[in-house]
Amino acid sequence: MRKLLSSAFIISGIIVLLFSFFLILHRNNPNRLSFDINNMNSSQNQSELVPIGIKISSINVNLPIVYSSIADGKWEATENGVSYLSQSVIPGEIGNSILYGHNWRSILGNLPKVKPGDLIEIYYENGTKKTFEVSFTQIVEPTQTSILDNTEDTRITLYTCTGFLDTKRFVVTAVLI
Amino acid sequence: MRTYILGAILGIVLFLMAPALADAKTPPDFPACSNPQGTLKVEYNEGIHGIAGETNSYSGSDAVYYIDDENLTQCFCADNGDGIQSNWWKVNSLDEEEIEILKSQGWIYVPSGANWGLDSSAYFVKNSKYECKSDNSNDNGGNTNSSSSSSSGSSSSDSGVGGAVLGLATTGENVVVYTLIGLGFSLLSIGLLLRK
Repeated sequence: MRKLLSSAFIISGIIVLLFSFFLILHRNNPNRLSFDINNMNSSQNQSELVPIGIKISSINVNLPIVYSSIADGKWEATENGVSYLSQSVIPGEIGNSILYGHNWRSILGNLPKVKPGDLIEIYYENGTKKTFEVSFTQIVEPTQTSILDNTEDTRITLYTCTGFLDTKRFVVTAVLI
Repeated sequence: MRTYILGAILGIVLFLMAPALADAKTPPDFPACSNPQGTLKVEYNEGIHGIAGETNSYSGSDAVYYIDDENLTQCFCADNGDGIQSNWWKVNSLDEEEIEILKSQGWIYVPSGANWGLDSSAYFVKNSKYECKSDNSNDNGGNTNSSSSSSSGSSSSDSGVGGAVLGLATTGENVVVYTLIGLGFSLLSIGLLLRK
């Protein structure tokens, strides 16, 4: 009986350690916030606006924006704020601006609490800000890359990981008001 | 002891491979209603709409997009802001086994699309929730019990929205990783102590 109990503890310990090892690998996976796109055509960004911060009052998010890109199929992602995919349009310009961040409590862990009608403010280097209103929230698969497609309206697409082992994306779509 | 360890590793590998093993026929990718693609087939700003796989009808706006010649996406937004995306996948040559596998994956089998304003081919439909901004958000719901018109439909099945998703969503959180490492070593230590 004692031997059986000992084996159960040892096996459980090994499983938990293997799982934590998997999580460490996953944390350092450069594609964990990615969609199934290896590259993206750069938008013609001629705007002088430089986004530097994002604020979502409804979930107490106030974070810096860091420029990121897709290079050789790898999605850069900051651990200190929200990443702005520089191949998409500047937030506030016509088209679909892509922003994303980790689902850690210190970053976008509360993003799934955002509701349609909530406001998202983007702050710019020149001291101005633009306000967007959430139109949709949706959970999508990384294969649903159309969520990143350019649009005729002026919108931001903000997302984070969600679902079992972060295999899905929680997407917030907001349009300029 | 070695057998136990090998068994545990094999179990984890099988668990991670399970979705691939269960794959029968790969459904096409559908765009999300947050940024719909394709050709707009029909759009209603309001009205009562049927949802495939649901007996109730729903009140709200509805838009249907042709992705290509065979597949459609329906984006329904209820008056209370509850959205339902229905992915319509035309299937012509599936055998019974494949149909049963897809059903077990949450697809709803529609033997003929004719009742939904489509052609008479068989379709598979998968519904998922999303949230949308409704102009009538003060209404308390889009669900009605009346049976009425059918624009091709949707319902609610898998992915929940609003945070109530499966656990382990924050897999990169340091505190989770450290807690698990501590727990793992503790279990291992207890097991080794009991063995002595």
